[in-house]
Amino acid sequence: MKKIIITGRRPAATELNMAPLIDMIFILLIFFLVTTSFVNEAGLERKKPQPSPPKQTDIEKRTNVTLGVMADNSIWDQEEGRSIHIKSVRAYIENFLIEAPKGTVVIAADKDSQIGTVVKVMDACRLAGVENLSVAPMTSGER
Amino acid sequence: MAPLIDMIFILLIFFLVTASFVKTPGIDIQKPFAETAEDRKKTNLVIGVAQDSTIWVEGRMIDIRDIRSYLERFLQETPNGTVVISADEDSRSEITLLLHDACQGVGIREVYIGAANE
Repeated sequence: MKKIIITGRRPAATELNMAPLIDMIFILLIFFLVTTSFVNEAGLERKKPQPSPPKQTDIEKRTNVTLGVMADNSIWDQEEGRSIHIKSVRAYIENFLIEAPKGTVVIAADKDSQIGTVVKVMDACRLAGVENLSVAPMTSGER
Repeated sequence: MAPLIDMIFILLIFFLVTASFVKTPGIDIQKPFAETAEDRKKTNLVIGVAQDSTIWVEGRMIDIRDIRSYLERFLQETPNGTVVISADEDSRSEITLLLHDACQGVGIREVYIGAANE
């Protein structure tokens, strides 16, 4: 009978197997590379009109303008009953702001009007330099 | 080997940190143009309004009556989340205003009306 004597030497130092770790990190890296989307959304802020107590002002001077956007996307100055072309909104509001630099502009949008028109009017008002701009749905009394 | 692993780790951490997972509506929207629109960097949710005034979130259509409970859930998952309402320029403005009211109603502080600025 033969006796097998194992006289194996132990390795001097065990080395950690790095391959699975690197594999895993690579997979994670690729996952985040693929899922990361640098979405750049641009947007406009919208304020709602606040009910304010009637201020004592000159009767001659207007301190607010209500721009109505109708269902057919025409724009009206609600108080004066004037129709304004989309391209002249900016000039119209600039003229108003000369009289009342801190004036308020309210955009009243009809429920069937297009949001594109409302955004254009908002943009024109912001370009004209309106500080107090708010957007509200049109109430039936305003039509 | 060590420098390679170091570099991969750094890349991994970079993508971990920058991954923001924006919830997109998954429809093609022709946004209105506005010169004064500002970039909203930390957008968490984009609500889409299609040309036919239907509302889309995360690739599915949602009824206007269900939007409130959806937004409440969103706010629980993402407190201080930013919402952009991205509406097609031909959609009815009532929908966008209702969505805006609903967002503010559940307590989302940053709500913007989507527009393209370039």
